Amino acid sequence: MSPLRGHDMTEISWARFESLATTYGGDIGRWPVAEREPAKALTLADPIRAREILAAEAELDALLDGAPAAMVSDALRERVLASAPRLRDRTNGWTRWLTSTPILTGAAAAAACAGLMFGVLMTRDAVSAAHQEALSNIAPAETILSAETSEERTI
Amino acid sequence: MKAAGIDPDEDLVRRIGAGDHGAIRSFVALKLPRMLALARRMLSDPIEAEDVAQEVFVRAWRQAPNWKPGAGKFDTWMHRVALNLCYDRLRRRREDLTDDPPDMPDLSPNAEQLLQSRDTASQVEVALGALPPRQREAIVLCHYQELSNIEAAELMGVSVEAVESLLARARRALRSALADLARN
Repeated sequence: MSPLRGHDMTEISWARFESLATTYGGDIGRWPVAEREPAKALTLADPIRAREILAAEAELDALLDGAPAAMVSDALRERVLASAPRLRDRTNGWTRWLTSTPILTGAAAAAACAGLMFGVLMTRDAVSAAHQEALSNIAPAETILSAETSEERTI
Repeated sequence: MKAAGIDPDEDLVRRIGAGDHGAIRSFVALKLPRMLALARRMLSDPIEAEDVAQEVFVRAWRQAPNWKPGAGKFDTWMHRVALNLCYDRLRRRREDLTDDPPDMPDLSPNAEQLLQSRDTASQVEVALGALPPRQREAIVLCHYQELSNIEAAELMGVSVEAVESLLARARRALRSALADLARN
């Protein structure tokens, strides 16, 4: 059958019907598109004859379909995914450019370290100052007591 | 059989070309079983089939950014790559057998192997493996991969009539090999 054969056909012969069945199997839905409708028409014309031809091939189809496809292992799936190009939805173009340039990466790392050190020092100074201020706000216990006593005295 | 013309994978391939993570995952989920099944049935060897399937995807990642819509179906292109890889391996097997026949096992299944197979699936696999490569290719492409006769003919580099002839002979051989199983 040429690719165009069937497009102009309005009917097919029983010989062609049988040939299609022995070639493509017992399911008319798997036959060449152009010949499906003429084949169905022939089936309606003589259902018993059509069923006989199709049933023999459907039996072989069932056997062939009894061999399931190989299962994809997780390991294979991971290998295939690992071979894919870098994924762009996780990083934008600038980030990828920056991280792909060693000098810029080094500069970024140095800046991060400097920032970290600055932060640590500032935090330490701030904590120290706050600590001293807190201590200065805490009056000794005897001072409080004496203040209370003096208030009582005043009353 | 699938209709020729519009490529159902066009959008997915475009997104893969742009490095879309989700598209890559969807594509692998969709096509990896298909490529593995093709290679497994062509080669009858699970390890080699995995290697072929993996290599098809390595090439697909390279091809996707350059893929021109309307140039055909990406799925058909993948089939062509997979078939070429399978034939490379089948050719290598034959060369190995020719170079060193005494030490190499006979890779073609025979009736004894068929009878010894445990179940329908393995009997069919053995029967498929026993087919001449071009008949096996025709039945794998049309029956299992559900390509149209036109797509199969293009992939195999033959006319549609030749594909039909190969298919009919393949089915006749399979019917004969599996006759006992059918009776049971």
